Amino acid sequence: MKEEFITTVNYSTLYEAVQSLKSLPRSAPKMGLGFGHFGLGKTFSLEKIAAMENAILLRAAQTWTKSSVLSDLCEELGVDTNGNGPIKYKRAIESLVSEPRVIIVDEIDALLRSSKFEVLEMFRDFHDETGVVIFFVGMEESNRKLKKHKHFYSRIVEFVEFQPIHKEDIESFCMLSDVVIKQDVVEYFIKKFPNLRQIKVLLIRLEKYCSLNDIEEVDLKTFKMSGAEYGDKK
Amino acid sequence: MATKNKTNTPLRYKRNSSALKKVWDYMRRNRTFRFGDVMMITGVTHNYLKAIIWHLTRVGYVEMVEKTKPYSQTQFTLIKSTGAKSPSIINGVVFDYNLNKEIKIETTPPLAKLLAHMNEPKMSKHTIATNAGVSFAVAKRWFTKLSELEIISEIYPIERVDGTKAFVIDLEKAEQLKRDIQNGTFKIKGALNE
Repeated sequence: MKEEFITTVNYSTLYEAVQSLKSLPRSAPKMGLGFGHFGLGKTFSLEKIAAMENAILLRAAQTWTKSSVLSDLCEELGVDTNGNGPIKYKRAIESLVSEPRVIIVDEIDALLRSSKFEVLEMFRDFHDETGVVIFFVGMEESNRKLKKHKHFYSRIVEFVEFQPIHKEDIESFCMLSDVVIKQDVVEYFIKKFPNLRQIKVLLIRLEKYCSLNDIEEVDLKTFKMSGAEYGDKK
Repeated sequence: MATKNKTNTPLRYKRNSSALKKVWDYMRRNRTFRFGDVMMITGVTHNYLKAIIWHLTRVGYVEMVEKTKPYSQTQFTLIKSTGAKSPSIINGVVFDYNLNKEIKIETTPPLAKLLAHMNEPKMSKHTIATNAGVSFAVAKRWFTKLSELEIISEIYPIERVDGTKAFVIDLEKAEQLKRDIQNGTFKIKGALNE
């Protein structure tokens, strides 16, 4: 398979949302939320945006505390990580004011429990004090759960709901394969595997089968015959 | 005089970062990563990334999980994540700005490897190259040089060792050359780690 980044519909929507937040005036709220099921390319899109925008991409964990987040943030900003919470907080604020950077927090679901909400509140403080864009990304329930916290939710001005993978995305993805994937296989993928992660595995198995059997084009019949769908369980 | 109201203008974000910083950040976030994914996300070329990974592997920062074909499917693990600052990599020297430490990559040149494995009076070129872990294509060049220096010479009539043509090794001269390389008195391009 060719190694190429596909600009999926979901990625484009997310990228546009970040750009739109960046263009807002300093005084306007600039928080965003992306949510959706697994396998829709959320994390991969975030990685790409982080690389392009020089953004700080943090992945929330169940073990996160205010202190650990401050240390992580200070490290990413390249400021001293020693000292107590208020000192680290001040350093991070100063750094973000002098050199603003977009902050992206992935897997926000880990922070939506009442015991962890204080960490989210800290991000709100960063947002209010520095005016930088903070974009949260989580699973589909994160939108519903965040709604309960009205003062927080009111600052979120961009919402991106990750949609099931579009036909065009699957077509572009299949184009990266070393073998020609026929339209009936693409249709089958859309119906049965609307998830790029699964399709990638299928294509890799299919390529192996095709290279062993000297096949250059794959239609649905060949795909079924290859057993790529079932892997080793065939 | 009218002053510009700054609250209505958007912030100017710090966007620029080097390709190496992008690669380093990706590796820190995804400690076990696939070669192809790094290329895709950071947009760096295959050769550029391969050079970075080669250097970081040599200094013990990165480890290959499993070699897979094609190379882009190969997985690596970042063993040492020392901080947010990306290291500088210049011709065999890695400088870690997080630790303020310079690490030089020590490579044994192929000639030294070959000489170290010339330990019998009659050996085949293939055995020497295989034992030394040097590809035959590279070794061949050095065998020509060693023949000129009369360290390796042919045997008449032809004899065979390990199924391939045997050569006489002048162990004394080989030992002398090893010493000369170590002392820096034998100077030839590629023979020393320079």
